[in-house]
Amino acid sequence: MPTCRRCRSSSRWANFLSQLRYLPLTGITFYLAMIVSDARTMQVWVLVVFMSLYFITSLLGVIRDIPQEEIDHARSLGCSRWEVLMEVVIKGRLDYVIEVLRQNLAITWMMLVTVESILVAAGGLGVLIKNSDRFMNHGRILALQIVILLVGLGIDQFLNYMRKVLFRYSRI
Amino acid sequence: MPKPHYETKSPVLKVEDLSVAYDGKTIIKDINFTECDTVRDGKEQGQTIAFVGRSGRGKSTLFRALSGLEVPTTGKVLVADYANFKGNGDEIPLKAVHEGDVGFVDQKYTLFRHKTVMQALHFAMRKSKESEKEKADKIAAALTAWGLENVKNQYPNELSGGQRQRTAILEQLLSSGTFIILDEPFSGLDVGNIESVKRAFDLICSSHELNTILFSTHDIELAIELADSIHVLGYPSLPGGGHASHGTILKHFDLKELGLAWSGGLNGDHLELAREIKAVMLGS
Repeated sequence: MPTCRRCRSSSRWANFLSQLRYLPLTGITFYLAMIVSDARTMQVWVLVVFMSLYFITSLLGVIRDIPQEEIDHARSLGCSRWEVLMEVVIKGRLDYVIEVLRQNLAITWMMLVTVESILVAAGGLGVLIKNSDRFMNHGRILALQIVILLVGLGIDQFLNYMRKVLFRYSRI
Repeated sequence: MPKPHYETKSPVLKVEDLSVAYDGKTIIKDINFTECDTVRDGKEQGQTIAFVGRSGRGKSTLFRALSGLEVPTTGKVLVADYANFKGNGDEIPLKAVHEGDVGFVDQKYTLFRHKTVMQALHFAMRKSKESEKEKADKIAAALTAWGLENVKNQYPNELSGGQRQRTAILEQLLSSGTFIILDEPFSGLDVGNIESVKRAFDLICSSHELNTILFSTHDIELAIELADSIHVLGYPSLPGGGHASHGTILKHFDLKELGLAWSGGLNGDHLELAREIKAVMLGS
């Protein structure tokens, strides 16, 4: 499909942002600390930045995998470029976005504990594990791990269920 | 068998000096042909035009150019402009093809995965100037005629192979009006689905005399059985021996003129034609 200048420019930006996922988390924390003072806000920002970069990478993969036939099909029905974007890329891949979100949330959920243990000032499950680790409190570490696992699995199951309910056509 | 009487009227599709090249490599070149509206007494008769040729001879590229999905490197594709056709015996005016003028169905019968049959058909008719009531009536009639009434609220992944094919063809037909291109519609189908597509062809051709189907296939006998005009694509021979590396139309067989069209089956003459077509293909 012939791509417009704006699309090519957006694609370059997305690819650039995607490359930033290789930046170390500690480095991101250091620079964010210069603009955000509150510890909890900082934790959230680190996770947002971290997840966004992976999310963009995953979404780029979803878009790249759209078969040419689907784009040609829309064009043969007289779709404008915006309609192709709306029908094939956005509406046609909404269920994939939920799936990508599910996969990324799994990583983010795991990272949440790590971020909390780096930015200890705001507390959280990560801090509790770290403190328990320091005092060799294995029972508490195990209990916290189970809580984290169950909450994570709950979110995962919920998103998967929502995808199936909202998108009857989805067979990922 | 007596030769069926027919009359040829104004051109509905005209291709002049068409060539398509990608990154400097010519895929098809010097494509010229004209297809006209065919009229038979007491019968609605659309046009069914087949394109046959060995793999890699540019059939899909030609189809993409005919449907406006590919901008020709040289030449032009002209299709009947029914919107500006006044009737009363005038010739149908021709216009350069644009995306959406000609329906295009690929061999996977691609549909919008997030639209039900009904939603897909409504979307296909979104640009029609008819009222919402007329559109709804037209879609309802089409759903009944094409045997899709019971599955109108189902998504593509819930349809059988035959239902999916009919939906894909019907959708393009409602969108483009009269022209439809099918790229290898019989590829990989079982005998039941082949019959389903053949019935769809019959339905299209018998519903309006201006309906025009263009399709490609590797099954020569099937092309002869269904088409009234066959174009053979291949690499042209070079004067010094060997072949060029671009596809072009090597030969055209007008089955109407040969008295072989609309016979509903194959006889000895059809099989002789199949042998001739295969010989042209093998020599290219």
